[in-house]
Amino acid sequence: MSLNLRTLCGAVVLLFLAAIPFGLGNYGHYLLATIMIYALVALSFNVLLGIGGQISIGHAAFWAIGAYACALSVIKLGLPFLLGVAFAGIMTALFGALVALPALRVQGHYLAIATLGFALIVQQVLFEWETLTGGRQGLFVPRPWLFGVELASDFSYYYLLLGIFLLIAWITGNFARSFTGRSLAALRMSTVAAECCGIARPRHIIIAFAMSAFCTGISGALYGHLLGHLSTETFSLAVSLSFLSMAVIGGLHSRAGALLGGAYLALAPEVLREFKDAQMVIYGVTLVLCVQFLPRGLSSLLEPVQRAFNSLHRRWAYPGHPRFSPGTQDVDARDNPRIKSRDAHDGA
Amino acid sequence: MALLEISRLSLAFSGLRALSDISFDIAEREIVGLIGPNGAGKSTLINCISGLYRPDAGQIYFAARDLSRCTPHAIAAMGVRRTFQNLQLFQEATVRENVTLGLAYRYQSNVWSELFDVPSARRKRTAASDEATRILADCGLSDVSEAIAAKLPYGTQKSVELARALAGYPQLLLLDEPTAGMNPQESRRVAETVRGLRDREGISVLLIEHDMRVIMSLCDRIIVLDHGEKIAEGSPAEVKRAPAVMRAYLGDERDHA
Amino acid sequence: MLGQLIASGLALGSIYALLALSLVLINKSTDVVNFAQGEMAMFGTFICFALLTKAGMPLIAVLVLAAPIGALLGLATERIAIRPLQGAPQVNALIATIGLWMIFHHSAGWIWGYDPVRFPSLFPSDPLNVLGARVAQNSLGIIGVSVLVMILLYLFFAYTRTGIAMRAASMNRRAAQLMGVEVQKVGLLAWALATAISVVSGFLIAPLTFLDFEMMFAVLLKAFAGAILGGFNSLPGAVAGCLLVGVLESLFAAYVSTAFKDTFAFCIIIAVLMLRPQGLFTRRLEAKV
Repeated sequence: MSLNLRTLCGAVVLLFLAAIPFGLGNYGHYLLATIMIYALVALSFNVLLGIGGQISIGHAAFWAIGAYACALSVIKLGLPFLLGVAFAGIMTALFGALVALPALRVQGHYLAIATLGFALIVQQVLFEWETLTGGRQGLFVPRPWLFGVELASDFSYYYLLLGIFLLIAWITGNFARSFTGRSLAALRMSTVAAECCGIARPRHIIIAFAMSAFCTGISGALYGHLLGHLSTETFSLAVSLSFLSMAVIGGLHSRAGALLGGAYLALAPEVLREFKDAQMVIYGVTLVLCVQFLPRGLSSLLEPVQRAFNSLHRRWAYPGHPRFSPGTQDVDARDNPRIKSRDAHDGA
Repeated sequence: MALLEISRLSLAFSGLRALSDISFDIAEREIVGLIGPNGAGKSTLINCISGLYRPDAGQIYFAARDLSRCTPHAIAAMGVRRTFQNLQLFQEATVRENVTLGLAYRYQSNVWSELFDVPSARRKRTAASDEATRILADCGLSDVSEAIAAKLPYGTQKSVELARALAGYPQLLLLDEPTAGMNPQESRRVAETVRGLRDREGISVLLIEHDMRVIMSLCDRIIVLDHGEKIAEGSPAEVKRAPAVMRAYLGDERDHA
Repeated sequence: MLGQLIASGLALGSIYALLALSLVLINKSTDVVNFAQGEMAMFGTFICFALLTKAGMPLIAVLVLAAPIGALLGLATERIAIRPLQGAPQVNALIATIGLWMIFHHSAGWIWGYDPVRFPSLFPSDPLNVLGARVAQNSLGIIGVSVLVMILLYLFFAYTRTGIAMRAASMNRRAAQLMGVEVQKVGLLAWALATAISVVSGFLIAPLTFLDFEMMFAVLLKAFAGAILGGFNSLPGAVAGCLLVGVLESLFAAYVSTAFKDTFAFCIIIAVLMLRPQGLFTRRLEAKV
């Protein structure tokens, strides 16, 4: 049985992610946890924007809904932590389906405006609804309890977050390779052709928004418990724009891109600490440059490396095979007839 | 009972009459040509049948349903597929993926089973992939199956679009200028393919064409449009002689005869 | 009372209209929507303010310079950030303008600070009595300027060669090129013109709202609401839409709630997008296949 180089790489990365907290202190653990939380939001953009081509500049609203839904269900309804997170995801998914309705009617910049409007409405409502959100004091969120154990430290919380990230990444990867996901991509490539192939646009757009909202809602729920405190100011337009930026800069087409985006958003404030005021300016500049020079994001820098690995692996595993000898077209073929389109790419 | 019955179809764009009172039938196993000068309304008619435009008046009956009230994807699922005048391929995808997307709608299942990659979802993907392989082979596209659609030569791209339409096992195929931009050899090959589809698969075809050689040799019947109106209908011989057609086409006949 | 509310609403709406004109101008010419239009207006106005205070130039002189400053700003932005994205999917240009929003919005705060400053008005401060309502002269000036700009732009697009060429370029770039339209210049011209108008707008708006980096944020959203309401490609429609939004907002704030008046504008946006995406005044466009 030949060793799949891709699986090997994946295992190495996983090992790295599991081992890295041991080399860092408390603050490092907090940063790692934040990276995972942002990476979940980046995955939600992978689905909505990467596959579906739908733009949203209001994702902070989903983050908020998830955060408050979970916190309140744990505090007020006494739900166990994981159930609260799941509940938050479902609630947010319902709102996502709601936001999909304007998306069925309009595209591009109109949709962006509609999502912006939605986010500002949500922010305003949460701000005014002081009994729910705690007003100026905000809402204090307890540390999560998992199977009778309190995850008091960020160290332990990180592993939970890593697990959830891997689960969601697996699910979104399945989605990208599924008929629904590929049909969604087809709708992006040519709406007219996809519809004339029997692909129903409404169903797919609603699923895309619901899934994207679900992932962001879960992220928000987990963030609330990480921070320990929620205030409505956290969920501003700047956050929505940061989410969009980091997802695009990291790369919309792979798990690696999501992690890179998450790392970018979590670490940039640290790196740019001296330039506090100019942080958002730098985000903006990076975004403009990225869209011009690196449209597939930072993860696209990894693609040539991946291709080289694939090519090497095939030559090593199938020596002398006419299809895989040097000089033939670099084709993404496998023994398994499950061949995917280029953009439903499950990255490293 | 005809396969497709179009009854008094009319459509206007901001005062411009694109289609006026169009009526005709297409029977099973019939190849019908749709000709007329540019701007006559041919593509508009096809867009109405495939559900992209909603007519102002009239009906389009297919399998006892009125298509003029249906969404494009529902119409496609009923067995009406099409190609486009200005190629609408899934550019970033491979040829295989284009064809697979053409049959994806039949394998749509529960999203949940897809999200968790359960065995039934995997089986469906494999089945779809096998079916796509067969279709690619039938259409002579096996060699280029892994190529990205955007990078292929024009003629091959048109074949891919046709293969994608065929992946839906349609009963009615709407072809919008399938030989545009092709040399005589390629055009003849397309004509043979279309004839084969009718003969072997029993597919009816509505064909928009400007190449008169293809039209005359291939079609059982021809419908002529001009300025949104039907000005002639009949066998190729009849239409060729009709004075109205001569008038509408004065100049073109000399080029294509 | 109602008359006063309507008058204030019209004054408010005309502010949105000025910005909406720039948005529609760029969209009509290049099929791109510039999310950063308001921020660029604000940024340019800050530059004018610096000329007033640091360089000590007289108000009229700075007014004359406002349009060229805006034009340069627009030119530079189009050349650096937008032109290279020709041919890429539309979503990329959209993301780029969002990036520009972030850049202009936050660099204004970074460079000039976060405190609002007083911006001198071109008009005397005593309000006039118009049909029983008291209106600030500055507001009348804004209404006048927006109507004037709208008329000039409308004539430009409908009757001048350049204007027609620009509309053609936005509808079908390649066809326009084949017809001899220099599409590169169209983009430049559109952005230069639009930003020039925006900075002059900022010049007129700042005396009413105080000049600070948040100045144009809400204005942009309401301008969008008005432009969408009126049909995004129509100049008179955008102005009419914005005036309507202004009046509705004024009435809503007075009779329902001031806290939610911004929310109200966004609800308008969403409602219009859902019910009649082409706006109140334009006909439905079918995409040709």
